[in-house]
Amino acid sequence: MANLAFAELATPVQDTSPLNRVPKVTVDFWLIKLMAVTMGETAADYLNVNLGIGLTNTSLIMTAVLIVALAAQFRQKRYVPWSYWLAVVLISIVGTLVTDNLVDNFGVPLLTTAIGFSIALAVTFAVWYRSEGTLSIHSIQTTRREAWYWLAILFTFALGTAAGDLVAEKFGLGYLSTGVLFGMIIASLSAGYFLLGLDAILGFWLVYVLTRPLGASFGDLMSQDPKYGGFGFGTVITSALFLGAIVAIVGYMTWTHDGEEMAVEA
Amino acid sequence: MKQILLAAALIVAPIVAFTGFNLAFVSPAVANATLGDLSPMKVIIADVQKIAATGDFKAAEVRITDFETSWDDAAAGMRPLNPAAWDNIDGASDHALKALRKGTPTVDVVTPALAALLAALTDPSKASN
Repeated sequence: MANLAFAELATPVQDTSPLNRVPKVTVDFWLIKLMAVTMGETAADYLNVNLGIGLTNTSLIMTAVLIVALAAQFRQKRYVPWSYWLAVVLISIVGTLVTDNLVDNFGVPLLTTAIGFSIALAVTFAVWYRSEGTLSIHSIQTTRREAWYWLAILFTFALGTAAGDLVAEKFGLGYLSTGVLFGMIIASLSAGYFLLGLDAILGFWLVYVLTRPLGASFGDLMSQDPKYGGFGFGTVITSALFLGAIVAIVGYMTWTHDGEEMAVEA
Repeated sequence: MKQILLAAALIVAPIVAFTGFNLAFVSPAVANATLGDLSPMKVIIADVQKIAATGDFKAAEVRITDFETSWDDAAAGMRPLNPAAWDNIDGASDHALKALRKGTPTVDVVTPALAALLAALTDPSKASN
């Protein structure tokens, strides 16, 4: 008994913390996720077009800010709404800028980008599964698992951006049609999860990719000029509106401890 | 494997429904559809030409950024109206922006690039080179 207790003490504290470091997947999880990607799209557009320092410099600065935010998130060792969602918003912006860079600065075709990020995401999941024996998002309680989680998220944003732009540009669909299409696929996958026994983890990551183009279409609908069928809010007001809504919901989550998850599956 | 197939079916089904609906009920994009009123953008480019003619490429670059902003802001709504025409203008716009931004701009690069952009805005159906 004494030995057992000693062994428990000897294990590093930060790696055996029972707290899941990422939130439960609830309705408000998807709500903020959708607003974060909408804002990611409009904010990346705004920074790129209006900051006047060029796409490359904008990308470098936002990547540096993201690294700081991720460092803050990794230090928490548990789910803290502000640092988690700050990291998601910034990944959303950087993921968009990465794809924009590949297409605009390096001339990589969108189709190549989409296939490339699909492969990168598949490899991430394969190695993650090999290393951890699970892809569960309900047991992200070690730094290594959290690193896999964020790496997968970065690729889902880049893939979602490329896939959405590809559908909109190559197939000549407007943002409204693109939004309807991706909304239909998400509805179909949700029905599959609730009615046909689609695996929760598989469904989660697929919808995570697909909410990116849905949010981008929504952002375009809000920001585009009425003569192109949008609401004409522009990128600044759209970004500010969504940022305000995200801050409000994250504030509410912090207040109510909503989305926290104590129990950890094996 | 069964799960992957289920997921694939769940993704493909709405795509098929959407494509079928589009083919059956939505008329295909008209090849010569207009991109809408481009005259405010032409005014800016004419302005840039005037400024560039004085040799003040720095001021010309500042002014063409106004064009870049409104062009990029409208892209998501304007491009689907006629992607081919939009791409023609976008290509000419990239050349003109590069001409004014890369290293030290020179008259023999800037003047034709701006003329080509104005021509593309006037007749977007013609590809620039």
